[in-house]
Amino acid sequence: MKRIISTILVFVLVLASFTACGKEEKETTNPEPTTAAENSDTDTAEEPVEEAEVPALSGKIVIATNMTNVVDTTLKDLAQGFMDANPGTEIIYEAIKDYETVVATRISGGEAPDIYMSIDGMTPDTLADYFLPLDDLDIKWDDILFSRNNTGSDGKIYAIADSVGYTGIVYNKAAFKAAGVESVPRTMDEFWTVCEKLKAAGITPMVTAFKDIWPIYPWCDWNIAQLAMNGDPKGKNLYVDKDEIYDETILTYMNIIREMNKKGYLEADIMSANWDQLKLDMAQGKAGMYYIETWFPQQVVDAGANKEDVGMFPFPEAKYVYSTAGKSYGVSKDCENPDLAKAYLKYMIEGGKHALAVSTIPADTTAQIDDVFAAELMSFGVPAGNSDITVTAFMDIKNQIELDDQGFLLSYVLEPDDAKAKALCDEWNAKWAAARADIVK
Amino acid sequence: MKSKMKDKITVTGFLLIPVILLILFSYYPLYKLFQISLSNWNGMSPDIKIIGFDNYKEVLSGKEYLSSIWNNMAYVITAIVQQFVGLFLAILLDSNLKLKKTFRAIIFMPYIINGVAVAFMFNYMYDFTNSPINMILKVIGLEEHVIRFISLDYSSNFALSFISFWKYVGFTMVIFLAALQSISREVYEAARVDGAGFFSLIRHITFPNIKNMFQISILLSINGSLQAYLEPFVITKGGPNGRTATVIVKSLELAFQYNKFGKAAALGVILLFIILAIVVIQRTFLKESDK
Repeated sequence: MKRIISTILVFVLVLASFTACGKEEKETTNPEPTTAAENSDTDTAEEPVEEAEVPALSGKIVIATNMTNVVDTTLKDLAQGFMDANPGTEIIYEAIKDYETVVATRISGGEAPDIYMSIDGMTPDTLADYFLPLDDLDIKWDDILFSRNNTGSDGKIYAIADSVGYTGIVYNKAAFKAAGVESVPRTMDEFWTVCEKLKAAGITPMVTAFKDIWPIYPWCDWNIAQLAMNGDPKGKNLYVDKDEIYDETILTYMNIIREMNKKGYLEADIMSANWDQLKLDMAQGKAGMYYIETWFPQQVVDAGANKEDVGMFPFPEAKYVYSTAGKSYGVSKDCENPDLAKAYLKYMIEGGKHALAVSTIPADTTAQIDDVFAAELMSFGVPAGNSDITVTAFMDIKNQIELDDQGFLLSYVLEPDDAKAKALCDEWNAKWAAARADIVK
Repeated sequence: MKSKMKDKITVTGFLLIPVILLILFSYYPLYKLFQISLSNWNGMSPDIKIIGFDNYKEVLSGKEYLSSIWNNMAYVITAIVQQFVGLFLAILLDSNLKLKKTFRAIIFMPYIINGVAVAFMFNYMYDFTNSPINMILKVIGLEEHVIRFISLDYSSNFALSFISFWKYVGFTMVIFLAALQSISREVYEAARVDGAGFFSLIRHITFPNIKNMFQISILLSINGSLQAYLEPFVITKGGPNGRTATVIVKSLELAFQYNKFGKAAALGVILLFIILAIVVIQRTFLKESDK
């Protein structure tokens, strides 16, 4: 009897496991976007002639975003606006926190979202592997800033930036006032004086959120350094012809922040200085300055600062205010409803609707913007400039030697010994030279 | 005959499911890992180009990868210390101590807390500005002695490995406690009658009786410490300058920051062989000592 029960149990277990496998397979091979696209195909297949006459959009697409804070508010409203204008369509924003990793994994699994931002590792040579060309998008390309930034090696455009950012120093006016600073620094001498005054008033002169690594990117970006110091738009591309990735220009820039650390102008312990604390300190006037882009001041306001207390000025003695493209969106190569995806992409970009929904400055120059922080930044008379599109070779060399420029900046700033700090740079320069010889024939 | 057949079906049925699951979720991914380690796959492209053992050569000749193995050693050392502390606590709580059940529960509790939550908690503890430890030091007038938990030197790895120690020492204690409680009290009584003292009891009775459990525990701990990644991943992201990057952190960095999945897989395979080597060495020693 026991054996019979055991046999039945085993049989049930085996059957259950296979049933579960079957179900799982069904689920994975029919993700929501595909099913929706198939539905739309079925719907439209019934009346092909009429569809040709009336190219109504239908079906569902999924857009991946890393803007987790607005996915249920402004982005939802944005999508609703499109759906109201195009009945029968469904636009879904999917919030992904660890964006790059998750999207890369989904791309490799053939389950990329219908619209997603280009991610690290995509080069002009490989854009066509991931995105559909957008050249047929009915959009005024000349009105969109940085519209050619995501051109593939074949000359086609594969992604389009929704926004633009201007780099400068965000400062807390109340903190400046408390420290007795009456005007923003225009020269480096004035800058050091301001730092000293802020420190004397018990205010952290410059915050970095070094622990989170990425927030310090303007201090080690070759494009920003070349444009600000030398007014050279070639930026990163210059280094494809040089054996030194850490040359005098970038090191002068990096040495400013290193010097600030030595003088105690940064957070008390930069190894534990984090992003959330940075925003709070800026909002509460415990910190005076932060070098970043125009998307940041609004976050300080959101963290509790008075809008009137937050401002921006250009980096002292900078020849240009560096402007750069925001996130670039493209339509997945595997998208099964490309007409709808492209229509929505156009809707996002035109009039800067998406950029405004996420509180950034639209790349569409025809869009009405009312960004007081950008306006103040530009009021100092330093012209805005941008760098040339980075060539693939730069990224290839950097990737081959596995240079994490932001991580390296932390090590460089933390190294107290000048000779050792220089040796660290020499080490990367030697690697760069070797890889360059290998890649740039 | 029928009965034997039924037995075979039953046994085969029970074996089939775990074997299938093992093949599907352990051996097949392992095979894929090895396959990817021989390629230059970028993690996204449908094309995978086989490049032979180049990834292994690069990993074994790159000092940053070797230093990540060296960083793991801090976790291994901590794991070994953890065994002795766990054993000490077990011996202590196996005695007639008052409130021993309460102490057992308190010491074991960190083990049941989620690893990410623990890492975030220590992220706060190790924060120079907001750390409660530093705040207490400031309050009691020891402001000059505030601690920089994460610094440029190797000690940062010990600060991070201490988190594992805190989390797992209770588990180690429970394992040893179970072993200790399986030793007959009569043996101790007899030894005491023969005049054995506390240390003599531990050396001649406790240790020999829990040797097997000790070996299993240390194997599990070393295995875990070589695979440590959560603490540096959440707290330092392997920085500064790779100082706290363990092998797994380095592997994740290679895969997701530089899109070098092949090289990341090679590093994973090397780690697998290191763990295998440790298992083999330990088993060899085990056999030697059994003789």
